[in-house]
Amino acid sequence: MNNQTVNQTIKQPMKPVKQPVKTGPIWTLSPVILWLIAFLVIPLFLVLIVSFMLRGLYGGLEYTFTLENYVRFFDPLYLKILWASLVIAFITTLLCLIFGYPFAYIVARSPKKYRNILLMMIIVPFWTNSLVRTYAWIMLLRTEGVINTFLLKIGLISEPLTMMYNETAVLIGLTYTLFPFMVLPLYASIEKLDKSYLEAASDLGAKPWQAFLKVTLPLTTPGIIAGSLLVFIPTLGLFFIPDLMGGSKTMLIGNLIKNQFLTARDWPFGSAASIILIILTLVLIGLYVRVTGSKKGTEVI
Amino acid sequence: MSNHMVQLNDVSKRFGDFVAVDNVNINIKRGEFLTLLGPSGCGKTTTLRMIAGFEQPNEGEIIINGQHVEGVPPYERDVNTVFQSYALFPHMNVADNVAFGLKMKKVPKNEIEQRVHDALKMVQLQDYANRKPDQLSGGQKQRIAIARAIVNNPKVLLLDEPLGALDLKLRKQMQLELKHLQQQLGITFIYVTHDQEEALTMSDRIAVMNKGVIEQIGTPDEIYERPASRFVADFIGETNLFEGVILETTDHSSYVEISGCKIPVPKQEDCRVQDRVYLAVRPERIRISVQPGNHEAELKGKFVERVYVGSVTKTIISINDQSVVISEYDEMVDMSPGQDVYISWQPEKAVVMKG
Repeated sequence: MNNQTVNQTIKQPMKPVKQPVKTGPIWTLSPVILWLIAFLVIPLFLVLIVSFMLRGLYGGLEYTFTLENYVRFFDPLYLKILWASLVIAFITTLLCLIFGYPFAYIVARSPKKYRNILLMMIIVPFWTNSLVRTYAWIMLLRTEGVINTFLLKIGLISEPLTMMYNETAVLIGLTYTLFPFMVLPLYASIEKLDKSYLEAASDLGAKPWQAFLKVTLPLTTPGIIAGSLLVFIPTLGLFFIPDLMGGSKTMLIGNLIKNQFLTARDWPFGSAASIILIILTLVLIGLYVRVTGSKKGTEVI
Repeated sequence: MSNHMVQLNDVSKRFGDFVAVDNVNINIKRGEFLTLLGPSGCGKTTTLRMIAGFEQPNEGEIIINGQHVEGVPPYERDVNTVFQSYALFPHMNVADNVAFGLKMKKVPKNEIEQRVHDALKMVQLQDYANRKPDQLSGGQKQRIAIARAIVNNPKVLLLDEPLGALDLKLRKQMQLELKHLQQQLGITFIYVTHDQEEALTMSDRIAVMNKGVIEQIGTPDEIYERPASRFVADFIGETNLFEGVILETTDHSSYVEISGCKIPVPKQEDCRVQDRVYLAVRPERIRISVQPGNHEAELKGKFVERVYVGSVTKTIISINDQSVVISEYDEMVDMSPGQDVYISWQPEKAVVMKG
């Protein structure tokens, strides 16, 4: 083969080989569809309908169509709660990321035989009821709690610290509870990262921190985003941690919804708030998909 | 300045109890194409990784361009590596991949552009600058990996089985291209492969490794024609090994007894009478006939079979239950299984190796 033809054959752009995707008959999807209808579509539809109704005199439902619940939500009082929830969720996500990334990195880069043990240490507490674990935190943090008693005893402080019933306590509780949701996707993406990329970066003159910024971080972005969504979205709806650890001071959107259903017995307004929360969540996911390109987005979801 | 670009002096590397590289000494000249050849697990890749800086030797010294590099991290070494898996950054396009090393060195932007363009041109992929690695074929990725390394003008280019993932035809073509590239650039190449044919085709010198030890360093010709050990004789090409003992050494030649025959061999200065030796004879050096030919080096055996392998025909005979392979090119005399045949070779073509 002479050189000219060699170049020719190489320069030819690759033809993508399209394999026809084999699909079975549509009815094979029916179990999935039935499941989705029973547990997703019908409940969601009920919530949607209720959100357009009026509250009855004794907490029942009045079957009249109204937009009043939605209008009411745009009262500054509720918008403030929504904003506070978003801020708390954002800080929680950030804290989980700051603590979670180094942790996931260390686990993913530790010898194989230790990895599962380290991951188990994250997962095992999960098997305990999260309410119980929240009470454990209260035992630690409250005025006569373990930490204050200890610090008083060794004389480091003369008065107990106030660590409970404020925003810090809520953040501690939320970060602790949602930490595994951040670590697991991060771990998966860091563990998947081929070490030869880092060797190549080092070989090409990148110092370790440069290799981290230019190679590790971009290649683990799907994990960061997946983890952030998995933390951010549940944080908006978690009501018992702000309830138990924030006292009455910290009202988040999750608490608002729970109160409407259980305390105020205003199901229509609770439903409207839920619908708004769902729409907000979908918008966030949609934004993410748009920013990163559809392929990665669907991968995360 | 010494005329050696890379020197390994008594280098050893252990992983736990496993000795991966055992007291290796190599001096690699400037502009040389040196191949580390051996079976998998022989320590060739570990040796390469120590030169790159990914592994640190437990003992010994590594000197690159006159400077000791023990403890120097890869990013401060003037060498670049072409990885077996290519390791192209999947989140960067071809141009950014190639520019990576220059950006790390803070080369001015317009110079980077020029050098990236030149490097891509050298590997004939200048039209692919905006592609992502997963839009390239295996051969194209290979070329980009080479471009990404040579764009930095390294003192030494390390190649870790770079052609391993390519199909045979492309591999053969790339072998020649790499060789030409190396001659054109004058960069010292250290090439790791387990493919002996590849090593013979491309190298100025070959270091044959086995179990962490260098068995022989020499030109392809030396390695093939005068293997220094049984391992080398066996690993490089096909060879017939005959076991025997030294009978006597005269002024001109030595004599070895093989299955009761006295066979002359090149003179062995360092062998004594009764030393156990192996005689290596390449299949293409052996002639076969149905009549005894009064040759000096001749053995009698029984015909077994002929195997057609394309360019040659391999004739297999057995001598005392040991098979001997003979390559035949010309018209062949008909033989039937079990028939007595005679093989012979020119005494100086045989290589004698101790135990």
